[in-house]
Amino acid sequence: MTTITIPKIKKEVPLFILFLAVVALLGIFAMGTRWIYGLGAVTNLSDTRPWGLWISFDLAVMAFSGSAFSLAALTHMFHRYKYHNIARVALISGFVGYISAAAALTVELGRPERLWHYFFYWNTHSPLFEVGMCVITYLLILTLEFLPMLLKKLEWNRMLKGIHFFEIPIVAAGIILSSGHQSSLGSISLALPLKLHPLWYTPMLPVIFFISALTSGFAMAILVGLLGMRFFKDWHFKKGVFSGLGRYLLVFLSITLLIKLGELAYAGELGLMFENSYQGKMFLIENAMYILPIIILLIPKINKRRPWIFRAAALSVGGLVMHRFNVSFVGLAGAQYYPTWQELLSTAGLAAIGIILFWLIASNLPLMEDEKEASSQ
Amino acid sequence: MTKTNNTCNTCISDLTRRDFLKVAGAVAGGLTATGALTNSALASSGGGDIPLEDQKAMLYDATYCVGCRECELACKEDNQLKEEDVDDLSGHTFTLIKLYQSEDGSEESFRKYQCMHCVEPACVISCPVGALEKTANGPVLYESLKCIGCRYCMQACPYGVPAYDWSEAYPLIAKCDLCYDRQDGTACALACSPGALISGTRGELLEIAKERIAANPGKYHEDRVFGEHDGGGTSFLILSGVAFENIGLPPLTEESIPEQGHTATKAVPYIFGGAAGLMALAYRATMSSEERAQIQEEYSKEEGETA
Repeated sequence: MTTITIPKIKKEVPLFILFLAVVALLGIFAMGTRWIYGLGAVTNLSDTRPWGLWISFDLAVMAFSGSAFSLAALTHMFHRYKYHNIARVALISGFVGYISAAAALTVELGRPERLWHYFFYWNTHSPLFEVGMCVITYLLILTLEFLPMLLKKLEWNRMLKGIHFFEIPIVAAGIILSSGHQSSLGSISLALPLKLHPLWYTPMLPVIFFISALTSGFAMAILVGLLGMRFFKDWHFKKGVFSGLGRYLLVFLSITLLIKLGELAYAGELGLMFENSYQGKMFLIENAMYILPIIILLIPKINKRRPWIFRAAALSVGGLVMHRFNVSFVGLAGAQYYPTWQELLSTAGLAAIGIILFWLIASNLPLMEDEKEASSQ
Repeated sequence: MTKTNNTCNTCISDLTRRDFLKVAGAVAGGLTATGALTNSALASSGGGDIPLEDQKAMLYDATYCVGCRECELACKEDNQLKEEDVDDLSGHTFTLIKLYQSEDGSEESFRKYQCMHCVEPACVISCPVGALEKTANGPVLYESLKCIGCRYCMQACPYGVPAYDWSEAYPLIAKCDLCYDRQDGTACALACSPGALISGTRGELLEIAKERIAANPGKYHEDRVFGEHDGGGTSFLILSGVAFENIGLPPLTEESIPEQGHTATKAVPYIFGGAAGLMALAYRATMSSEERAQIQEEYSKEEGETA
């Protein structure tokens, strides 16, 4: 008998993950109702409100999956090897993020069984085509970036060497593709000048989407890194990694905020946010979630302490999620809309699947390089 | 070939840097080519070889409309759509007559809702799989077999035209096709007895509309035809006695929606190219002197081998 050594899979499952598994199952059940009964029966979508919670979920998840490209650029293009371990964590969270966003398409699309049409019927001037193509290619790139960890675990050394040879080009292509698609996610809304509220509609949307995804990439890396250290005892990061990421976060948060408010001021529409409207309030909350972390990260002693860096990062991810929801939902004209329980449950399920997948990968694959190896770089 | 010795097995550290620069260049080049294609495709999306004034079109003069809804019935019959009672266009209703009344009742007008068959349609540019097409003769057609159901066309259309059959588990878009296969005009125009709807070529219809405006100064809103230039122009032209916004027509500029987004699309290849270039620069600039020395060593080793 030939023997293939299959590495042991970790057996003990934390309670938290069991709970998420239940949520995931319920979510799959809710997704089932959409496949059987259809969009009209299980969602509150209509002809004047054709996009709902699923689209906003996709936009938000894809945005903070930017952690993969922010950190990849920092570590590998700008040679900051100190961030090597956290870049791995960011890579995995981006990877599972994209997988659950892509999975959302199977319920969101009216004709999910025709997803393959993307490859056959091209409309190269559609922003959505650009998004789709970049996401598909980028998911492939992320898989290639992720594969070495799996191959190392399986000890398939020859394949490992093969992939290894292409790593720098792979990382570079990944960064270019994700930059492109983050900004084209913003271009989607450029086609809606009459529908999107002027607080959010600007020709700068692609730039804002790109910069804010880059920003939240740093925030997400901080969040996942610090949260993960509680669950995975073997996670370790070099000294100053989190305060360093905090500094980058501060810089990019400020740039994002400057572009957002500066553009509004240029258009003479700053006053709109103080109008006592639903959109005005949502805009204020969104930007408060950018301003608060900037303040936290500016205070000298506090900005070196992990709990505060964590809070700042959580706030900025919140601000980003708000922005994506505002652009795709709050700021859009259309019929009254609130998600149904099927929409809510399936979205929660997709998020749970993502987290479980992350846990599976993180607890079974060698994410951390040990000090010796890392220092030899 | 570079050796992959001592260092981390699973990251990019010990690199073939020159290869990276090459590949980054190739990636940028490929994307630039896609971008160029994008721009030329946009330029030709204006309806092929048939000049605009000879394309199929319709004129709706709201001041002639009496609200008999014969056009709705004719459309249902011609497209074999089921009867239903709706307030908006839907998967089974391609055209609809609505009545507008001002609050004091002094002003009223009908409006015929249907696909406007834009000269540069937002739906056509937005559809990722090209299921919507601006045909050479004017009608904007939907190819149901390509559609993946993303609903971007519904979102992008400023007139709220593309509609879904929400009762289906795997629905499709539905909308007016300007009776593209009929040679004698459109079913709704043929059914219109008060003469509010006329089908013909865009050129002759614009002429009729302008004659009516000239003959009745002050009768028509702003003394102009909606759709001659609005949103880049439409093939469904409207004459109205009341303000356009009162009968639900959007305040469009003369620039079409695809044209507005064009600036962003045009920038794409440069952004990609620029990003690749910047990354290559950053890669070189931020390299430590040790790494530089290492590369130098590799170079000289390779040269030594080939010599």
